[in-house]
Amino acid sequence: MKVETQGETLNVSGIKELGAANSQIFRDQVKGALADVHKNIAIDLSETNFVDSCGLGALISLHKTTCNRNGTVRLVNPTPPVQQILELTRMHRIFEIINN
Amino acid sequence: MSIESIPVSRNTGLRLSLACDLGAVRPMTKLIRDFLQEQGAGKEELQASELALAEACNNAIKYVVAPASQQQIEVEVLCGNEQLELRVNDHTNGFEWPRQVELPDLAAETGRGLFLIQSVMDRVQYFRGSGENCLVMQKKRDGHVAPPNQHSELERRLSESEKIIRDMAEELSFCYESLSAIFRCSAELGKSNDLEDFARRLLGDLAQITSAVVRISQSGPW
Repeated sequence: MKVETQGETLNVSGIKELGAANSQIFRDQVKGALADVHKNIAIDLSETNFVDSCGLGALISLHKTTCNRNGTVRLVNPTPPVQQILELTRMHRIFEIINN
Repeated sequence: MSIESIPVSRNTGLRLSLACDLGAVRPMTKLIRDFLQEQGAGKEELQASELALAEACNNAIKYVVAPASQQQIEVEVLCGNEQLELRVNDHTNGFEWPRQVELPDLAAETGRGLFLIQSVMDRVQYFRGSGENCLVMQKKRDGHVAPPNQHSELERRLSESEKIIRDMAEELSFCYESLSAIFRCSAELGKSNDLEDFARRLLGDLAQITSAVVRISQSGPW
């Protein structure tokens, strides 16, 4: 996983999957990388081929963190299976989903 | 992390057992994905099976209590032409499967597993037992396409069946001819009580048939 700062946004990329086995580590690493300057988190899901309910839980947890900073979580270029799960669980209502 | 793989029967099923370890779940679902891919399962079937199995096994691991956590979770996949069936046997205390599985509040961080299973599968049944529970998940196989090796096997079997049917039709036609000859003879015999007269007419018929065959054979190849 790769994290980098772009203004007020923390960009996260290189996530292969987000499941029960790694969702807690993912959540902790992203929260650990947040600095005072970051309001938003942009998560690149273009390499993510699997997300389960635990992975969704981690994303929601990050969403709450950014809400406390008056920011948002943006999900960038989700792969078709991930997009399907986001829609099934209506996550598109709370996340900003960006398809470039 | 431990996964044990046991083929149930050639090309149709697979049985796996895994330890109660979240790290073992994804390797197991990948093995099953590969197996289903070999069976010609489509993209949607693969994704649905992978997700449903992951959710089912995650629950089986998260909610197990000692000493049952020492027991293995058993996963079975049956791949038929019409549908896929996935079974997960766990050793948790079990729970009452809700009559209607609904999504939790949008802000909830947990509680979507059963909803995802129900959404991606066509039929889900949960059997709660004493010390062991079984989750059966079925998905219809729409637009099933046999993989190339299955195509050639099907073509070979089709060609064999066609040959058998042709041979049987030929045999049936001979039987029919023999039977009709017997009926003809019986009918002729019934017309006359004179055996000599019957023999004469039979020989006459035979002569006619022979001359017809000779004429046909002289008229050249068919």
